[in-house]
Amino acid sequence: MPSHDRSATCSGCGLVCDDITAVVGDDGGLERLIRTCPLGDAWFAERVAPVPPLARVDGREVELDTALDEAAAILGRAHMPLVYGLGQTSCEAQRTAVALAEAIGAVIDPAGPLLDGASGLAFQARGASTATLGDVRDRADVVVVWRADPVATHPRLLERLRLPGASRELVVVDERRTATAAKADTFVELPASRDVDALWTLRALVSEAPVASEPALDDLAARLRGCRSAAILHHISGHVEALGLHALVRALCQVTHAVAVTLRHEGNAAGAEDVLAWQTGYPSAVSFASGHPRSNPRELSAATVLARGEADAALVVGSDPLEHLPPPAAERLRAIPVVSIDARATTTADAARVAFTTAAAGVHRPGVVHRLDGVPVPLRALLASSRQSDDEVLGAIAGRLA
Amino acid sequence: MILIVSVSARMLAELATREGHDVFAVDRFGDLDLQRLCPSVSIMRDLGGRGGMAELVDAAEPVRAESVVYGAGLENRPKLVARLAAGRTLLGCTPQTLRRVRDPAVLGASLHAAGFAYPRTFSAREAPVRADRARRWLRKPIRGGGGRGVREWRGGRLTDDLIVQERISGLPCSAAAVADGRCAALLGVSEQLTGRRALGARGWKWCGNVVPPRLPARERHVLTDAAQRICTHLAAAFGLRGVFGVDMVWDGALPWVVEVNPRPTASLETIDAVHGVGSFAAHLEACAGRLPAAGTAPSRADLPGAAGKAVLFATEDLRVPDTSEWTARGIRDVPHPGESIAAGRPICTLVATGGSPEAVLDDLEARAGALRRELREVGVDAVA
Repeated sequence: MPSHDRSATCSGCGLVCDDITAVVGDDGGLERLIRTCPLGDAWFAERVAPVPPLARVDGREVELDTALDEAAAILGRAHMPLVYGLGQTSCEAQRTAVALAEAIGAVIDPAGPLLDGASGLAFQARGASTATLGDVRDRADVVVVWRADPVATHPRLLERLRLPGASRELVVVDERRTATAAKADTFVELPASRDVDALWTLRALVSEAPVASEPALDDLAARLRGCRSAAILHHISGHVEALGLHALVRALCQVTHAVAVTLRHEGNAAGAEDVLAWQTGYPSAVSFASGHPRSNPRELSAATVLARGEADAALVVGSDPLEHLPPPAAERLRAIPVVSIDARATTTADAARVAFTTAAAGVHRPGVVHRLDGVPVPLRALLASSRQSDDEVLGAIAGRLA
Repeated sequence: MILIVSVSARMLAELATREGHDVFAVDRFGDLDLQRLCPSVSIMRDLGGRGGMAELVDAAEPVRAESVVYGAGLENRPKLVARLAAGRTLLGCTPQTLRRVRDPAVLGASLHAAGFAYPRTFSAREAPVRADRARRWLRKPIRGGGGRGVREWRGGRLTDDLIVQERISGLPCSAAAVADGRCAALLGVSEQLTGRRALGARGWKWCGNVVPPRLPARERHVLTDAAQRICTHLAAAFGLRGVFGVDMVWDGALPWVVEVNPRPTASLETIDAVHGVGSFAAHLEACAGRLPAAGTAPSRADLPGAAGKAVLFATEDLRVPDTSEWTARGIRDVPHPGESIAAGRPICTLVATGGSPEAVLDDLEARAGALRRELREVGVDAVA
């Protein structure tokens, strides 16, 4: 391999492909990427593009220390600060963010549950049977993609699972014929509003309960019961839907091997929930206001505390919530002082009182992320950068609040 | 599809599926026989919840169903019923009706005005001043059900969530009727089983029903006629819709109404077993404004047989053995094999039919004793 070819890991989606080759020019810049998908190309491009200054206050470039002082002042005087995002930063930065949230008595909520659904909460409530992508590739002879279109959102997933493949069946359940459905052996058309009754009906069918059903679900239940190993890859949003899916997998495990894997969108969404759970016991919506962690997703999710007008300052790390929060929550976020820490230029950073544009993990800094199946994957530093990392900025703010 | 939401949905699901309806059930327990009847979600088994009413409604909200029937537990939560009804046809009493008919003061005033017997009832604030100490009193939770939390009251402090009601001596009974918002047709009258030690119950805890009540034929006739009049009055006064129940105490001469349960009652399956009334169909028809034709409702006491159900409660922590064949033995609300059941919690329901209510009750209690011995003998590790 030429000396300018470097192994790289793409964190552009939850797959975290670590077989990428980055060709680095003599000037230290990124010339070319090999084996990336369009999402990966965009992910690297966002992080090597000319970016805003390292530190800004009210949109104006300032010295790093000035911005750090201002960020610490905002968070220090807030009655109910919110720490949000974390899905596009390293586990090291996530850990520092959780410690900072604890120090300031904040509510902390990863963006994952909002972007990827309630599967993490379902796991917390009832446990789950899950697997690595390697397991799915090597064992599953029936793979069901439920309410997801990985050809668009995780472009290399089917390639990595060697699907479609001989003696293996790909079933897609969705409300329209997606790009993934076009590659499937079987497509089951199902409106999203029917997820709950369809999943619980399937649960009954795989348990051989004589319940009323319809041919498509009867057929899917028979395929699942008859296979050696089933994998359900999904992007289910609601809590009851997610619990229904896990109940289906539990029922299937009585007759065959079955697993479920959430197709998370952000590169380190799984890591955000894992790190928060390590440190607090809860994967999301945790409040440190009473001096100890307390979780209640209904009451303490970021969207809820913002929409209720309770959060009076926010620290946003590796996320662009103004692009995905529900309107009432986004409106509140625009009205309160926000500190943004991100390697990219984002709408949220542009609107923030204090914005830090940092060195990117996986491009300028090493780090660790958790792939969508929970496997830790190291990120490598490909390019040099004089900027601070997310972790370093968070640590500096925490130091001012100590 | 009809959504059924109840603390325990098995009975309603069984009545509905027996009549060929496509149903989806959300309940607290997720018993084995319910899971074999229809697609269902159990708050405790499937969702890891504690089984509160709000959790039931949270789980039911995303279910796509054209209509909803609610059962026990929700009559005390009109706001939750309103959430259940959003975007669906509510097959049952409206939240407004629930608020009025579950208010003891409103119910008592209505019954007294119509000349029916209703025990003296006081709020927690009134009771210490107005309750005559020469009489016997019970304190009850305002949002109660199944006799839980009912105690003798001999004075003392009361919290605002309690009422005090005069204790009437007699036979506890329950009328089940169906109403169209203006009028009612009686489906049947059952004797309520409460606090029976043979079933592991204590105090006023409800533990089953027997149809018909164990009363002389003449008293049964008087009770049945009075129950029809009471149900007709309540349907008109409160706009009740669908199947509802009226808990009464028969003192030997007249029935005292103690509570109205404005939703399908637990006695329905026993009444169905004796009268063959098709109670779920009657519920749906009544909600659509059609009552059974006059003369078809079995309002007479000269019955062809008897039926009963008995809820068996655990008297110690236990773990059940393989229960997969229990349904064939006349057992309902069947726990899952290996399930742990804490002392005081229901294990299952026994159902029986026979020639007389006395024979049915004997059969139920004998089988309850045998099952309890079996659970001990099987010796599946008692839960520490």
